[in-house]
Amino acid sequence: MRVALWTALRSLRARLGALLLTALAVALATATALVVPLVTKQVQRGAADAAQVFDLLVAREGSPTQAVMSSLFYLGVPTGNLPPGLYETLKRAPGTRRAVPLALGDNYAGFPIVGTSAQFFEQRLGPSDPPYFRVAQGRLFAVKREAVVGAVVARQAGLRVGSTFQGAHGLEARSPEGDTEGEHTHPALYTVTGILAVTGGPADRAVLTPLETVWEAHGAEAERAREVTAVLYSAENLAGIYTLASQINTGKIAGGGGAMAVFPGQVFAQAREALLQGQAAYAGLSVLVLGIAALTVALSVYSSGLERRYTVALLRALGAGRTTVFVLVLLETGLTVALGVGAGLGLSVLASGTGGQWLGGRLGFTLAAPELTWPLAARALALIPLGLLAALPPALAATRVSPLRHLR
Amino acid sequence: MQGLSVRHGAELTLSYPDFCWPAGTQIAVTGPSGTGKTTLLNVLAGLLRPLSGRVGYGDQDLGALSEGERTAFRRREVGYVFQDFHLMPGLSALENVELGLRVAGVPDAGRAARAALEALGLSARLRHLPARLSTGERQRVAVARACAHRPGLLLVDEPTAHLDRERGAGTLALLRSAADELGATLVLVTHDEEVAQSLPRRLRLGKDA
Repeated sequence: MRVALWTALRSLRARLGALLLTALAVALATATALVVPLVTKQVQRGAADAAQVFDLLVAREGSPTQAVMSSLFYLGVPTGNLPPGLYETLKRAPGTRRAVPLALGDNYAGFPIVGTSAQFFEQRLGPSDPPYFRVAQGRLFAVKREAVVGAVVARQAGLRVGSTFQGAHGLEARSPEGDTEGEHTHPALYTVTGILAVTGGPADRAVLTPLETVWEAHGAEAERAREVTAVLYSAENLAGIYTLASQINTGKIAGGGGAMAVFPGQVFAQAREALLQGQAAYAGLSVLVLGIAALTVALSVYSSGLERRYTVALLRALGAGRTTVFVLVLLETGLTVALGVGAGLGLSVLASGTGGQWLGGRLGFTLAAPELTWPLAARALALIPLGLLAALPPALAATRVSPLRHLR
Repeated sequence: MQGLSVRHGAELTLSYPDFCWPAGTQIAVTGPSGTGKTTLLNVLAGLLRPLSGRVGYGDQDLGALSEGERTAFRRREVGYVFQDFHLMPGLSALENVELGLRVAGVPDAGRAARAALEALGLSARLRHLPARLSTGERQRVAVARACAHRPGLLLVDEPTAHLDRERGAGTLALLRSAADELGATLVLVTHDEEVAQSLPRRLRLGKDA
């Protein structure tokens, strides 16, 4: 066995080019098969946390996904503003625990400015959990024009407690040249009173300010024009949430015409379903890619046959047994595939880590490090027994090699 | 050897004269081409099973051994210097000798291989691949590989075929001294009558044997 390993390692070294090419094919196939599932899992984990903290979202009628993406992840354009007065109705509805308003439409350096109330900071994952949003430095806003900024905003915009900044109309920052109608810096001067602790979610890149600041910035001091984009609603009990959702969606709540109630978790689950369907197709493609890698291994095993027959014949002439040469052929293949799979696993973690960071930046939440689970790794590790299976016929053939025929 | 015959190819059968020698003897096997000189070496190495007759080594009959037993006999007792040396092209001189020692199960094979090559004046060529060695150097590596595990039977096929007269004489002296030092029986196949005459015993094959 030790002779076989010693010889296999040197034999592979002697065929370094072929070894690296085969290992590279296996590594790329492994990485191709694993990167997308790894990144998807990262996004799912990040998004699940971000969506779980909110019970019910009440928004303008439209696409539920669009409403969730714009109000909870601050991505894309909201479905519109809620009918006037609905926020007040929800706030006063019996059984209401919290009705947290969200007014969107402004930004600071590309970060969304979210007009809300202090109740925003009372939201928690579960009733017995501590508040999900916590101020790491400073304090919550108390009056108009004060702001609490997310950790990413503070870091990237260089804001500290006490810093001041000016917001701009529009959901995204635009260059001065691109300043179009309705997009201009508005006079509201914000003062940072607090910086949120990192959540890994969209709040990290949000500027939270009292609702009244946004109204003021939009010149909506008049009662009639005081609109909110969405409301995050929480009732004293679960039944209350479902009752209210049903009332809104059937138009049975006063002033609720044109509004919809959406369960963020449900929307997220639907999105996840769609994602899983895409993943199923991708998994099929991955099997194909891994199959091609297995074929590459088989080709490599057979193409090195002539050279191997000489090695085997010499070993047999020197007195090596049949078992030694059998193990030698299996080891050569096993080591090649293991090298490829190992490199592929490393490559996939590296690529999904980098890809996850990029994607997280685009989606607005910090994705956790990729987590290579056993079921995922098993997809790639399956190549090792497949490679050994491919090496079995030549390994058996090696035991029948006649030293005299190949050592003339 | 007694009544030995060996199948050679599909139709030809080679017959050998009866011959007996004590351990440690140095024998030259001569004869025209096609008389089965190399085939005899292969039978003695346990690589080829005789068709009939007896080939004794000590108290063992090589023809009666199983394939596995002949492999073990080769590993333990035989050192074979092939005519074309048959070194592994991807292994250095040192590794080629170490391979033979590892197959033979010699402990500390690396050190023993180094010592064997240094004894043959190849200390400056240890890391060289066979392709970067001269013919004479390759032959010495093959001799080192054949002798390093201290076999009882040293088989050498046409050792002077690739060499000029002076180098051939040097190789012959090297092999004889190695066999002496090991106390091994040396069976050397040669076309060269002068080489054959220099060994104490000769076995002539062919019609005029």
